[in-house]
Amino acid sequence: MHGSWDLFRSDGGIELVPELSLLIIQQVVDECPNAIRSLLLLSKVHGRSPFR
Amino acid sequence: MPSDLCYFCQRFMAAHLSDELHPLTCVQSFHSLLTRFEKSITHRVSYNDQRLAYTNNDAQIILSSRLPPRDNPVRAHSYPWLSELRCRSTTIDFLATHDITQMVDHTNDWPTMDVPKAELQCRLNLFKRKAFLLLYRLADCAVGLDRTGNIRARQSLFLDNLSTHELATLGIMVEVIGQGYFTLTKALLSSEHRNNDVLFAPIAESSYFYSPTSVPYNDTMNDNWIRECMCVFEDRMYFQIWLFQELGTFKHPPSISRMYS
Repeated sequence: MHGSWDLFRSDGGIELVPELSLLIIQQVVDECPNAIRSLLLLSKVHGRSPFR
Repeated sequence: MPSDLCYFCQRFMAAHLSDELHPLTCVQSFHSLLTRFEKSITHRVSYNDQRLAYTNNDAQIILSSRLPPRDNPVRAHSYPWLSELRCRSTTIDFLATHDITQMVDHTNDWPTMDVPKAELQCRLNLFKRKAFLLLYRLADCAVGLDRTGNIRARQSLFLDNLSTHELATLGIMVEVIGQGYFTLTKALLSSEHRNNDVLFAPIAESSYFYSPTSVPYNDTMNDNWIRECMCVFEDRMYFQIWLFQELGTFKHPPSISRMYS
């Protein structure tokens, strides 16, 4: 889909493994605990998106 | 690789800061990753965090500061729990340095200790933080209860089990903040109103406290009005702590309708 981007893949094609994802999530949560609410909402909405 | 990690961090931050639901391909596995590791993530983030020392982080269930306070309990090691503890930490930092908890009073011959000023400030700071912890524990002990009678009974039990020292700490802090509220409100009103002004006090429909709709501004009557607010303030300290922090600086006193609603 035009304009879509994968949170786990860089433009160069590097895949982010779950272990690193967790470390980054931990860092984000540590910086701003409220950020997790948006991440949960976004992942829930787009995980069920009919456009995918 | 570090640059790629930074890149991913930027994408994560951009994702959570985005107000619009742009076409982000955020797979379902990411959602399950967030939920499955909620406990371990929050545990690692909160472990040995000194900022959370006086936020009652040992309790298994605590009250959320979001309105209405006692309708939204959060369990330990969850994302809302971490968010609430950080919010409490910010609130405590704010109040501990604000004039409303000022405890040095040279005008009324309040007793003081014969220690250097810097040490006195440290002791006061610690005292306030311990007192706020007790206030949070007092609020949290009634989590899950919905009737005022039940809540008061549970809090009464909690108070009965406090040591004399803790009880004194709690009582003094409530009195200090009440007095601070009185002083700040009076100073603000004095600077903004002339002697013959009338203060209007809008009342919420849900209010169950009696309050006059307007109060002539003069020292005696106004003092009584502020003192009445001060009593309500002391009575509803937990809610006021949150409200006061939300209001930021003391430019506008909490309206009586917000206090009573």
